[in-house]
Amino acid sequence: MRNYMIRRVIQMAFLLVFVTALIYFILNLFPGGPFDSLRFSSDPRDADPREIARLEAFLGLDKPWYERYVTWFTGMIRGDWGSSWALATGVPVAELMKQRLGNTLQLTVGATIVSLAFGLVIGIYSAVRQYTWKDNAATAFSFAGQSMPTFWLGLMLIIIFAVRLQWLPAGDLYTPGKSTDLVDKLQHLILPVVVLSVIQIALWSRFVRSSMLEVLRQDFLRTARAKGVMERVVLGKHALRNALIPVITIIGLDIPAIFSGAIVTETIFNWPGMGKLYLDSVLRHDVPVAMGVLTVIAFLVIASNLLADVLYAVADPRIRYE
Amino acid sequence: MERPTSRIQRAATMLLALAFVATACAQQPPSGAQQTQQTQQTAALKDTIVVGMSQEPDTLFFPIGNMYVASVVSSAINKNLTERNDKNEYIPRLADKTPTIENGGAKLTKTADGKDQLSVTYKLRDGVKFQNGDPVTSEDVKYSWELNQNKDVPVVGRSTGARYQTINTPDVKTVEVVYKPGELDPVYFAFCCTIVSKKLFATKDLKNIKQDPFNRQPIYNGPYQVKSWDAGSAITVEAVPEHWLGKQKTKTIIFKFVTDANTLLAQVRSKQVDVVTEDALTLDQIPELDKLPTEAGVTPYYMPSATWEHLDFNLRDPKVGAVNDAKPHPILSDKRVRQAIAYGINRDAMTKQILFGKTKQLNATVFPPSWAAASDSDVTVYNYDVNKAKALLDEAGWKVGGDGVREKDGKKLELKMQSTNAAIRAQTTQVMGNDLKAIGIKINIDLMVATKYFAASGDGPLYNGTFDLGLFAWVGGDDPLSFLYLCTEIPTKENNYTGSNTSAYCNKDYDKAQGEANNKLNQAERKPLYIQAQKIISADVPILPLYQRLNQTLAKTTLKNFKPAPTNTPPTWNAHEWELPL
Repeated sequence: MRNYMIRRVIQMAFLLVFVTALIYFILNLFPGGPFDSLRFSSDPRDADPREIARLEAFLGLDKPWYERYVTWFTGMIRGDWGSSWALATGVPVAELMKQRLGNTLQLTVGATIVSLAFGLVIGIYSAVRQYTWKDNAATAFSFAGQSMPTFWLGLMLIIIFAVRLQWLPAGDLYTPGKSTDLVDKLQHLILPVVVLSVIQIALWSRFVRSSMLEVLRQDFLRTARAKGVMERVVLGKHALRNALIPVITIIGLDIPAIFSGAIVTETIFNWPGMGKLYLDSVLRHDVPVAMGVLTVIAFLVIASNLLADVLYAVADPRIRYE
Repeated sequence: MERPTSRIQRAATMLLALAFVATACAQQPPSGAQQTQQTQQTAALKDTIVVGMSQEPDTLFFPIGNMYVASVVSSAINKNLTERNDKNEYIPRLADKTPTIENGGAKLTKTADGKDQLSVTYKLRDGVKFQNGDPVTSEDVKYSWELNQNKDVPVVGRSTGARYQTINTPDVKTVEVVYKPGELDPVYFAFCCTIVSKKLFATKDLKNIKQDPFNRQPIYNGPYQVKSWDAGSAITVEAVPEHWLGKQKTKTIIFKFVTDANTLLAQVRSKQVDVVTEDALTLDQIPELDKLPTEAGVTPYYMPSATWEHLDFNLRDPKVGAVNDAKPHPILSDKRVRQAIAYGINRDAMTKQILFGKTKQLNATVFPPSWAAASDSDVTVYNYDVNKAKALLDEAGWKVGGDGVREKDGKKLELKMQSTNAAIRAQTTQVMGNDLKAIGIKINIDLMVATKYFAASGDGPLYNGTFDLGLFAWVGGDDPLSFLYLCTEIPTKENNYTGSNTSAYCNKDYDKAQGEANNKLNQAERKPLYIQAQKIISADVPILPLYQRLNQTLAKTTLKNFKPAPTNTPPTWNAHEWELPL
């Protein structure tokens, strides 16, 4: 296992370098730059290419992309992720991401907990009550949840609960002036968590159901029942534990999403998280910020794959890595 | 033995119940005591006006930024020597009056070699101060210009300041701006630069000014000062006590950043937002906005903006592109074809369909509220006339083929219409494509991302001259001064694609009229020249003005003194006068 881990970590390092170089190259293929709006200034002298070139030089855009990538990469290794070009002039990228990461974690961890709770319960219940009307209802919910566009669901909830009923706020992190009010923050959290959770519950309940159904057919459960083990122990201890093995790995693979945020949900609910930060950075041609967010996501994807493999081996003693 | 399924049922029921309880706790119907408290809170909140914008400013150090949303905040926290109001007039702010040639505030003299030299004198009004209590002096104004021109500072938009030769400061209140000889700035009463405190900036590291806290916590001279900036959420500004502009009617203004237009409207309807700036609304929301007065107590304001959509005809052969000595366009170099296209597009119906009738078709390149706007009698007007369009095409030798598309010498009358993929452009190109199909012109629409369409250095069709018909918008300036369609403004490969005249239109008579008008200061002398230029260009029709875009803003119906401007002036220009009654 140790050798396997060392090998994987080395692979991770090389993969990260390759991925970040590729992302940087692709980002720099976008035509235009942070000063495009000057071209439509009412005074064409502001659009003078020499003037734009002078401004671009402040950002290092007078150098070729590979030189800029090396500068960025060596800075990133030292902990300097560069400064924002267009979203928050001069603010370090690391600081921007730190500000947003907390907001994203509130949303995604909350949604993950809710999704796990409901996903497990619904999935187990569906498996135990297979082909009953309750199982069919859960299946229908699952299909509906997976098919429903996030932006539509979000807007519908806003219209119903914020506009019509005025029970909950229509987006934002908190009411202006109430940044320390926990109840206010919780109220703002409800709708976006519901939106994110619906899809996750729909997906995870199906995984749990399939996994449970597979395990429920196993002989060792019949043996346990024959030995007089109570049904709740058969299901809760023996069946569920084995059924959760693939679910654990799926959750592990979802870790990048937990940190990278949900772009659509954050946009609809005006939630200043990592997803929205990434979207804004791409729209405003803010390469350092986009690189920062994408690098974090790339690292998390690579790391979570490793974590999922390790967890799988931990959960299932039959798995051994050489 | 307990049935295991009933345990699962109980667990599920409990979880669902918890969820409902959480929701119910979110908003309990108020008790009497709570209602009083809420009313008091509501009453307190009337001291606060919430403004919704679509983006977060990148910086509040305005010389290095160029975002519209930054100018919205700027208008509340910073004032210049003069400021444009909702009537397109420059009113005095830091200055005690707006200097003009007529009132003696500006003078035109001759240099030794006979060139005109303009000088403008401002007198600072009594009591003007920065938000830290320091008085605003003439030295601060001069320093602000020097900062603007400092090459070590990434200032955006230095061209106006570059026209000044020097600034004299004979006393603490007097600022004399002396232009370079020959530089006749028609908007001479608008000072070039954001005014900052020399004392404050003397200690700053200007080379690393982007990292300075001033970007997020600035000190200016306006009636409101930044209290807090919650990154990603909102900027809160508070009234500066005993401000030289007078007592502010509202204590606090909160500028919220809400990216999605639908979410923002939902916040308006749910009374979380009182004012919405124009950047945050889209044209397709107009039918919904019109319902707001009755449904939500909010009034939409539609002001024709300084941004105008137009269709450029490429007069160069697109197969060759933007080079010197380019060949004429095989189809569009014929004026009759361009005029036929102009007559064949129903711009009146277009404005009704796309802009819901809130604006009218444009017939000139300069339009109200500009004082140099040409009336319809001054220019060639291309009102929709299918018969005229067809007749012109017949005259030009384009005959209708079997498939309904016109042809001449074995070639089809087929043109590529290119633009960005913004929704309004997608609609506009579709409408034009259908109209032109009816007169026998086949239009191939090609939409792309803006960064590609407008790319310089030969990467995009507009500047590399490979388009046939190009749809886009110009943003008009404060003054009709314009270089857009001069012969010297044609972008070519040889000049590194510099210039705005993407049609490659070149008419010496137009250049003469426009050039002369650009080099005068007196409105009475300039106006007939601008009219003349518009007459020439409308007859030649190298570009077809389509319509003015709209500035849509929203404000609570009860908000007093909300006066949005029909120009680029943000609606916060008089935020200190806003009053939201209890």
